[in-house]
Amino acid sequence: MIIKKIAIYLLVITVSIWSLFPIFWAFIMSISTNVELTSVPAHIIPEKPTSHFYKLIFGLVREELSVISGQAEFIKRGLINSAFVAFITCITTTLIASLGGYVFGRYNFPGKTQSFFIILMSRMIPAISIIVPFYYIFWKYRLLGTYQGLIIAHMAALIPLLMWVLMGFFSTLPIETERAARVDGCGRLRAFRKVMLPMAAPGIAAATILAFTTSWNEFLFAFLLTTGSKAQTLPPSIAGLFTMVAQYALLGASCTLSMIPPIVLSTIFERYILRLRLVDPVTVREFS
Amino acid sequence: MVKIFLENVTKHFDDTVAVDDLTLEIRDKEFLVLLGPSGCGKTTVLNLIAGLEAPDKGHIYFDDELVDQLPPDKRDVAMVFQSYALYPHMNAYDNIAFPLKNKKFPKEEIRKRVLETASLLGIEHLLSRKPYQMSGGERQRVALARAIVREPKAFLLDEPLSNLDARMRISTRTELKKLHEDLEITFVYVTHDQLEAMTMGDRIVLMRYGTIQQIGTPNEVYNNPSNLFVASFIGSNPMNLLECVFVEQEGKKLLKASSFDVDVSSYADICRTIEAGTEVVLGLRPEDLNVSKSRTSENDIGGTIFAVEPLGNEAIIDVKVGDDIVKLSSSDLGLRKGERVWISMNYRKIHIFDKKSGKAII
Amino acid sequence: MASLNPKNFSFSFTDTQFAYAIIVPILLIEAALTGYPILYSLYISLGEVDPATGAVKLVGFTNYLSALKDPVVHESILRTFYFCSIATIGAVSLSLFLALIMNENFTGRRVFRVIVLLPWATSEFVSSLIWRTILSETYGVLNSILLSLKLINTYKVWLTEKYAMLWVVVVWLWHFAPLGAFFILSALQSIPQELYNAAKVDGAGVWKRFRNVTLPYIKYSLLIVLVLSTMEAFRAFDVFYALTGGGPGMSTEVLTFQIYRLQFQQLNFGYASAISYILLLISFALAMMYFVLLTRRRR
Repeated sequence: MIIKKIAIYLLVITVSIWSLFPIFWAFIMSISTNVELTSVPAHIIPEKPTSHFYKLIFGLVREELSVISGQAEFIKRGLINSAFVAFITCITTTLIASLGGYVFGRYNFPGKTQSFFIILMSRMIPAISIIVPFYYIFWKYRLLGTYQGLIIAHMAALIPLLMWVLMGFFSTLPIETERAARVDGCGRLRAFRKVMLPMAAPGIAAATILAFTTSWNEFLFAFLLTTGSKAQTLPPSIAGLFTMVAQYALLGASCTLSMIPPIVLSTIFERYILRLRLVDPVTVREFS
Repeated sequence: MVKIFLENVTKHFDDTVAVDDLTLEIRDKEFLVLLGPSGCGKTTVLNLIAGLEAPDKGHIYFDDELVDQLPPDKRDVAMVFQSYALYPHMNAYDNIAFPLKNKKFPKEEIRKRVLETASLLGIEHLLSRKPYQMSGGERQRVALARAIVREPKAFLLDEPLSNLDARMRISTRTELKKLHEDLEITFVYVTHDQLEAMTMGDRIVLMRYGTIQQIGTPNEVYNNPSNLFVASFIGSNPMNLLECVFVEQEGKKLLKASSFDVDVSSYADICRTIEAGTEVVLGLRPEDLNVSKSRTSENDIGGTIFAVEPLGNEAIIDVKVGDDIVKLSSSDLGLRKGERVWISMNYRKIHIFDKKSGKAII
Repeated sequence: MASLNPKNFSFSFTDTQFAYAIIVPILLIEAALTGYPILYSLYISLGEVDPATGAVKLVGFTNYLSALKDPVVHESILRTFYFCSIATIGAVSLSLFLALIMNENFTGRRVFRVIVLLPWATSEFVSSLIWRTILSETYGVLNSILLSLKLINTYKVWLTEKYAMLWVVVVWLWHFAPLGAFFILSALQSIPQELYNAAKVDGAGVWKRFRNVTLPYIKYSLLIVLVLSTMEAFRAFDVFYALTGGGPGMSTEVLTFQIYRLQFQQLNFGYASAISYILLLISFALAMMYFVLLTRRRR
């Protein structure tokens, strides 16, 4: 079956190129100079790779006579803000969603299907449909351009998804261990805290990564709720950068920096992420 | 040390009734075995006692106190699960200490108790290991230790031996019995293995379809099974069951089968309650039967040897009687297949059951 | 025999009460954060909004009526459905393709799986931006490479009116397919190897094996991917914003983008909200279909 092996390897290489090329290209852009990138034909491998643009972003170098330093600073702030928002979001969302997922995954109560349906539905809403009222409400309560505002928005979007995923995970934990904890003197919350949570650690880790990544990558709400403010996160900052002419290298650097955390996290936690499953909320059994 | 009383307890799950109007009194300090096939409700009874399930109807009392609504963490019972249910993220020491930590015992007291219990069960060397680093037998001991360490009112065990290999099972059985004597706590033990029940229990509760079939000491359920189910369930060698009809013939009371008659006239007073023509089942334990080549009494049953399974110093003989096969053991090693033989029974040890209801008549 | 000892009635929740204690607050939070905006959006859609003050003047269903009569809206609805159909078909095919490869046994399989996962891990917006630079007619690297390989003789414009939508599908698929692929992969992994062996022994060729062994096991996951991709394609916004901005012309202006344009460029909040409500209703309808289809137990 050598033919099969060769065919598979060819496919693997092709697919890898397909998947990786944009990421690879962003990186190449980031270490090239604008001159190289705007030449025709563009240089694929830069002759003199430079880390100049990364230095610009991190403020290690300044170009006094152009506006690029200012832009680079926006990127740096965007990085910090995105990290902050994503971090807080993933912690709070995971806390709430693990408790909620635990209850949906192991308890039966009247109205369970309906309430889960409601929670799920909130995920189905196209962001664009509620962005205007969201904007208005945030404006009214002075949440525009604040960290809290965006965190709340992200939490609202992520809690349903994480609960869905964690519900599946909790339902796979052995029931006798939970019972043992009850008999050993734990009330329900204590049993959850001391026994179920630790046992669910892999699933929770994966869910946390999912939350962090989603929040870090999120564009629409961040764009509309934080642009121009001190809380502006990374995707909107990159959007702002894009309107500048021919700053491809800086763009590449920003995009690369934007992609690094998700890539790193996914690679490290790949095993756990791939164990997450979506579950049928009625019977709490896997969709398969 | 607690007396447990279940009064008219019913519990169903969705459409199935797991426990049906069950009333049971468990005496203080006794070793009570709940025995029955899977699905008979015995584990549910255990869960009800532990508080992991609440009864739909009926009440549960510990020493005359109503505990229906009491959650499991406040009932002060310990439970050993079939899968041992050790906490995988804790080592053995923490597993055993867990119940004490929940009760907010001081650290030194915890340490003292854990080490005592560990040495009692011989697992001191395992204390720093995690469950996945232990064998099945070791895990079971940790589960036992975790249960003992709190000195609970009652000890609930759910088929704790079924995951052990045969040899470990026997040694652990003895240890559990000894533990019961040493600790002097009420033990409620669930199993489907009648041998375990017979060797360990002070009293056995046989269950089927959520109801109690019989309660009694091992001797009682063995010698006086109250119905067909109990009779066929108890006994390492299954009881032989032969269908016959009760008739009165020539002044004698007979059990008539296609190929034999058994005279039960000496049971006249009991037989008065049976109508002539009732279909009954005759129960004969293999241990109460003897086989020989000649007829020794009127009540002997004749048959042909169908199979011989040698076991070393004795053999299991299958004798074809009419359409039925009767199994018995014999130390006569000269018996051959095809021989015509006579089975004699211990007249005082026969059992007769009404065929329709399964209830015992004798 | 009984004596009701008060000490035993310690306050203990039943399971149901505990569940409610956790779920109800979560429900309330979600209701507040999504339900309230939806209702508010309905309110806006029924009126005209003064962009300066935010005041709403109720005018009934005029916005809806104009929207339903507006040819621009009609076209964007058509475009949306066009996009969704191609995207969905592409998604199911590409996901299946990726899953089948990932299911094979070869050294480096784990690394490969991570590689396949990466497009999904990146930001849809950021990666679409990169695709835009790749496809750029002035300095794009795609043009560079093709020129160097002598496959074209001048830089071409890829995002034309005619083909821009297809490119959006391509970029969207690049980002979405890994998700579907991993769904299908988990279904593929549940197929016992013996079935394949038995089929091989019975003389079944590759296609027959696929049809009779593989397909039954993955049917449900394919359905999930179908529905999931439809829903995601319907809501897609980032790709459109980053890659084409709705253009060139109106060729990639789907419903989501149109709503954005009307809201934030024309500041026609009432009208935009009405259209967004139409979008919302269509999404809900799809989601219902999702729920019903997937919760019907089969097998």
